[in-house]
Amino acid sequence: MLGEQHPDDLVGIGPEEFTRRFNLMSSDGHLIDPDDLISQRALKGDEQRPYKVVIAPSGHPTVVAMVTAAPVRPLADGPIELAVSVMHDITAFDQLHNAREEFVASAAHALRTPVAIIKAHLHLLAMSGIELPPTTVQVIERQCGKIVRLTENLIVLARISTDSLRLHPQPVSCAELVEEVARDMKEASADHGLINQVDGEPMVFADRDRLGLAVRNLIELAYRRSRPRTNVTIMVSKIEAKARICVTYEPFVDGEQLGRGDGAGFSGLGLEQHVIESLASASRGTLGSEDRDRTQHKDWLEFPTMVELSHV
Amino acid sequence: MSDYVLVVEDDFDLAEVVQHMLEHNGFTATLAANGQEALDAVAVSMPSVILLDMLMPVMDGWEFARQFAARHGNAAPIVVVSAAENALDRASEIGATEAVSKPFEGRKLIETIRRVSSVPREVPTD
Repeated sequence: MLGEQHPDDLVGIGPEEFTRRFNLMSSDGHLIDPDDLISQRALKGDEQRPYKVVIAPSGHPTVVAMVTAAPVRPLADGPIELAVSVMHDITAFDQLHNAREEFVASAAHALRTPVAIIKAHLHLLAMSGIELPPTTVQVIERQCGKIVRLTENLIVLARISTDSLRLHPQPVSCAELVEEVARDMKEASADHGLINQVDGEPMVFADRDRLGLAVRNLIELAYRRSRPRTNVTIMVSKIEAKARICVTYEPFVDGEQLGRGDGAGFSGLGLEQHVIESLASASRGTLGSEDRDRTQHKDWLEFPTMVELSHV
Repeated sequence: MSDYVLVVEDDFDLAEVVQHMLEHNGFTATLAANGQEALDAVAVSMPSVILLDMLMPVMDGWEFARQFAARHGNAAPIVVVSAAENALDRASEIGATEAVSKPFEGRKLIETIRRVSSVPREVPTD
């Protein structure tokens, strides 16, 4: 715990010397600006959000700490005269957390090769003209698709959880992306049809693969939450300066689905929803939803179009 | 330019099914279980395309690509076939022509090989 009475006096040394001597870095490896030290912000009366900091003093072991700070006013309405910072050593917890997430990501990677082999054999049979019952092919493709989406979601979740998710933004045509995703996902449900509609061809600046995963998740959740033998519609449109990818479906009505009724019961981990929200937010997007007369439900992702971004 | 593809993949089941797929589509294919075997294979005969896994024992894909470039320049295009989520990153790291993520669609893999193998390459004269 550090008590600080003057902006330039942090345990006897100034903030510049403090950050330099202890080599303070944020969890993504960037050196922390002395002005951004939580104690400095507390002294100025700025917002102090707790953050993770990596302390790597030369010649000493690296420590990961969670840092908080609070300003101290001797009089209720008086000036701030002191800041108290608390650095909580979370090195062991952080290492365990990273190891666990790395294991999840590695396990997810490892699953992709067996799936590749199963699918390749299926494609080889098709190329060889050997006819399998159509349902057999569909079931194998469908189950392989589920495993692949699960692995992709687990990898993204592990990366988000360790602050190591890297996005590779590029210009993406929403209409083309959705057409490709719709083709993949058409057979992903044995019980629903998928209709693809295009009402505009907005371009967004996003990571194509990750955006594709978010859209696949939207469709997967719609399949899971909609009434059997109904269609799910996916539509691309441009609303003002936003690109919207919207999934519409008929939700279960009262009494049709026993249990929690929100689909979370058999979505298992709520993984898809969490990944959609995280990817949307990482790409300056938003996730919206709307219920119309409880007979039609819409979930959509909205992103700034490239035209809008060019004005930012 | 021949239709000879070198498949560098340490998982024999995957390598073998890709070989069958290639042969079914008119290519000839040789298998190498790691980067060292691949270097030995290209010294004997230069393929028209190299399908390259990255994580392999003995010699991984990065080291193979480095040594291949040093010895043979860009005599054959490399297509990275990776289970990593960042297959494209890995391809650009080694200057590969294309990247294909595992699991892949057989038809798309064949299309990719046809496309990259049809591009003329500069073969070193020395």
